[in-house]
Amino acid sequence: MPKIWIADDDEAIRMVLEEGLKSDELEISTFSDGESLIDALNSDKPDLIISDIKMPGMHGYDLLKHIKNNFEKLPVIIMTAFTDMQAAIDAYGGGAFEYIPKPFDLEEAILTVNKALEEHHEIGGAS
Amino acid sequence: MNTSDFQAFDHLNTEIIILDAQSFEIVGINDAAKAANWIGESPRFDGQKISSLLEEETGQQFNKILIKTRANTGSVTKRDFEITYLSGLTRTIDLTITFSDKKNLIFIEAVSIDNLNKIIDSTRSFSTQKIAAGLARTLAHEVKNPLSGIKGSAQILKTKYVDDFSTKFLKIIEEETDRLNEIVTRILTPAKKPTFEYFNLHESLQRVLALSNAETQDGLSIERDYDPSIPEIYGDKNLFIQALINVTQNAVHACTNFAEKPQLGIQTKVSYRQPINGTIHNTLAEIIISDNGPGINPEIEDQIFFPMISGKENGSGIGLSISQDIVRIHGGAISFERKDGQTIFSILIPISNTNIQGAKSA
Repeated sequence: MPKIWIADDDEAIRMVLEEGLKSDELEISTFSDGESLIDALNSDKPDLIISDIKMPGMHGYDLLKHIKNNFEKLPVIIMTAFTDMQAAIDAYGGGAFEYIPKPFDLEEAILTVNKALEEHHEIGGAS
Repeated sequence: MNTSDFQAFDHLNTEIIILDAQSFEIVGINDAAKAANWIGESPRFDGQKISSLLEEETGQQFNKILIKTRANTGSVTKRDFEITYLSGLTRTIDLTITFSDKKNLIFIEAVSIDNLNKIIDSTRSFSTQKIAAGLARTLAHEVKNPLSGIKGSAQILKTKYVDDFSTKFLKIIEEETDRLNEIVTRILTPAKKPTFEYFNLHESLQRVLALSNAETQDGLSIERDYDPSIPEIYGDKNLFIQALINVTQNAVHACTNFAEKPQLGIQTKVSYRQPINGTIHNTLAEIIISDNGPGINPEIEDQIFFPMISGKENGSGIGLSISQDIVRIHGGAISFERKDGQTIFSILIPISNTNIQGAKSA
């Protein structure tokens, strides 16, 4: 069963995404900051990460860099207001990743997530 | 110095008055100073003391500066110096007083800044405005996060509660969230990097009139008064058009909604020697957009260039702040006044100076 990890310091957004994505075919975990997600990566690995950019403590950019350096093939979806997008792309070194602009439309967000999971699956995935 | 020597000064825009350094009596005055009412109606100035032209307090202040300049054998500059003539007329000038030891003369140079007080004021509050704009951006950005939670929650509930009643109100939550998002997005939209080129001002004004739907308004009379001698403007044409559209749309809105016989005026002219943000520009293009609407509510008059200040119902207050940003990118200034039942916006753009200030910092 594909695993999706969501990092966002906003509880409302974690709840909404979790509820919106929830299905029998997905296993969803949420994290309120980047550090706890990286900790969890020591013992497990998701199929997709959805992360906010602005979070207290570890910044979303650093989380992106960490993932890119250690798990290159792990797909990441960035969630942010559009103004942060260019900065996010720059930080990631132009790497390919999806993004969901905030505020998102839940239906569109779900489509983006499913698409990313499918593509990852076709490529053969890292898992 | 004899009269013929002095006539050369008549060609200057700067007001020049020359005094005997001992008696402070006027020995010469150029046309610009005469035009600026220094000697009033009196055709003779020979032998008049400068202080006798001025109201008592200003006169004393003036004498003090003269004595100080003479004592230091140097030059004194006073910015925003307020003088009151004997006639009671008050002006604000930039003043430079120079003592020439060799000739035993004192030279007074004055540049009027009266008519641009508003522009100078607006540049004074420039940093305040920058802070306010920064706050608006931060606020707009912060608003986007909770909007995601609100909209997402409504969408989740919509899948669970499908009855008409719930659907109706959940739809309102969703739509209103979208509306809020649109407003903050407009504040956040990053300014595009301007591309500067030479463009024809009057062609752009035609675009402005077309795009602001001024020409299709029933009963709106448009008066154009273009000065064909204005050279091409160096700037970002599209941004410039946007700046003018915002002003024009406001004018059209004000007069078509509130005036019995709505009138819109678009005028261009060449203007000379105007200070903008501390620099005096020799030649400028001035675009004047006027309407006979009810004018700007005095309560928001000094804030209209701030983001989120609007006099219109449902106005976002972003239009004029964008216009001001764009005008500043072109090294220009925007100001407005209310005169004879007209709301008059004036946009000044330096045209003599290709090294446009502000373009670098924008």
